[in-house]
Amino acid sequence: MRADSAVAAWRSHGGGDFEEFFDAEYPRVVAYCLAFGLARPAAEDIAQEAFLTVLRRWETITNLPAYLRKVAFHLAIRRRYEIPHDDLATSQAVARPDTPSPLEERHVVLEALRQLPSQQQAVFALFFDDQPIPDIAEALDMPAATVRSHLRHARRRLGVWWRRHGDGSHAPEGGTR
Amino acid sequence: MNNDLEQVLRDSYSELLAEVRASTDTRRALAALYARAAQADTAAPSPQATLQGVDVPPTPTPTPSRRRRRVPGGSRRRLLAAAAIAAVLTAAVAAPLLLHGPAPVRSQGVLASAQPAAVKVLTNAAAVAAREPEPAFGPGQYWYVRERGVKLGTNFDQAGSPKSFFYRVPYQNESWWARDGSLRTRETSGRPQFLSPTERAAWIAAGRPKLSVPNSMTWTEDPGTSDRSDGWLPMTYEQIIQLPTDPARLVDALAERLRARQVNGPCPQTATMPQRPTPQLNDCPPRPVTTQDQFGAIGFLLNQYPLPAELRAALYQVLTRLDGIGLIGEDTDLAGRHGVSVAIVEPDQGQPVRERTELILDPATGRLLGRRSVLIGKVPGWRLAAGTVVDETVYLEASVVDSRTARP
Repeated sequence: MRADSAVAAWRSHGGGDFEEFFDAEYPRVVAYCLAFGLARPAAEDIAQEAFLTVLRRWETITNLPAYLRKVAFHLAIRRRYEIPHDDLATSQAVARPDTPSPLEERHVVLEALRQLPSQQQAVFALFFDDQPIPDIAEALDMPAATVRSHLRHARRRLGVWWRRHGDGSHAPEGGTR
Repeated sequence: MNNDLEQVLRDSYSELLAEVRASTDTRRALAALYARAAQADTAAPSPQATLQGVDVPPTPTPTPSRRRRRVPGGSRRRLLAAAAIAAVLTAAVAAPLLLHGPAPVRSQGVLASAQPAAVKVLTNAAAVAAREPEPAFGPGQYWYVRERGVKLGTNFDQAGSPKSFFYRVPYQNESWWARDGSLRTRETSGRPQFLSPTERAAWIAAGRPKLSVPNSMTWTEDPGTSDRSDGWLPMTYEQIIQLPTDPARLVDALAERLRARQVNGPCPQTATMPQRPTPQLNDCPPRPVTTQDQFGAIGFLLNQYPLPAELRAALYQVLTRLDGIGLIGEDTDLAGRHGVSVAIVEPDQGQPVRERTELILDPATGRLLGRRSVLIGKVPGWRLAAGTVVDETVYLEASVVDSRTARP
């Protein structure tokens, strides 16, 4: 569907639905992309691209939040791989391994997610985004059992990371460090 | 990771989201979106690839100089990413298994009409299990479990695209669990094997990404912090022996534990549109406990814990009460042992991937021999037939040892 007809379709729906959907979901998708280690501009760019794709298929998508995150996930993965290697040292698009960004320093969850492989990162970010397991499975094209398995492995890995590298500044009461 | 750390991270994510919300002008972002749509209007979109039914917008063409610089670094990162993804998909092993070569494909049907037969098999297993001797599991000892299996792996970042490929990885898991809940786990993965020459060709076409296997990983969890099976199952031996052995009460106890866990989990979304404002976690109603939840929990209890005989028997009786349990029939596990398998199917809620979970048990001893997950439909964009085995595990050893490095 061309964008003009998608916009027309949206308008024929009264327009409010998409606006409301955008208003509620846009910050969440940006946060989800930040959780992948992308910088704010790249995260917003991907969120826009994802919404554009949703807009084109607005009438045919049944599970909008899951579909939106599915598109954002694929775009985020692609974006991470496309950053020129030589540009990594100066690029702010991807968090560098040993240097927490200011955003990471403010939000320990970003540093934590950086310890995980991509799939576990994606699953855990969606989990924290309050997406139900079936929607996470749909968004990441994997069985629900695999989602639960990723969660389990991610928890173990984060538990180990916390005990070894947690600096105490965010230590929960009764924590395991 | 304990619940406190999870809550810290969840709170941190909420703060991140709040910061993004506070600093985002959605009106302006929406206007920018319309501008992009209008721009696309003048140059009609031509999706570059379709990933699992998702039209991915075309990637901006890099400048020649950028393209030149991109090649070595880009491919290196792709390799690293593929390795990381493969590591997620795989656990470990060194010895060959019976399952090799092409992906095994099993019957897709679940014998819903055979439920009475499943009940009969499970009831017999319960009767036999009740006569089995109880393990002598004293303080200072460890419950050792060894399982071996084969998992399906793929490069999920390319799922559905021509660059996706599928392979199998054998693995072995060992765990040492103490009465106080402390746990040591060792996972080893073996050499991957492509399902077919087509999958190998797809791997080559994808640039031969490294699969990160074989590998091995060991970790320990302190008493009270083990989150086996997402944290709601018994963490100590005391909690196990406190479970009721009356099947009716055990059903309630398991459902209550599952329900209690769900309060800390994500809020379910019942509509396709998000609710506004986003409900707080404490306001979330518990998600209804599904039969799949109970089936999975009982399978995990049966194969990972030293259960009193009465409790083991009661768990089999609880299985007979679950809706949708079907009898698959006589079966042979990966280790070549003969048994009988029962199964439950994930309900169709429009998800692209649905699985049937099977438990293989030995009717002579009431012991659980293994578990298997099977695709029950064709997944769009995947070169996998319905009935493909996604994960299959056999439980080879379970006994008491005197240290958390000892083996029977």
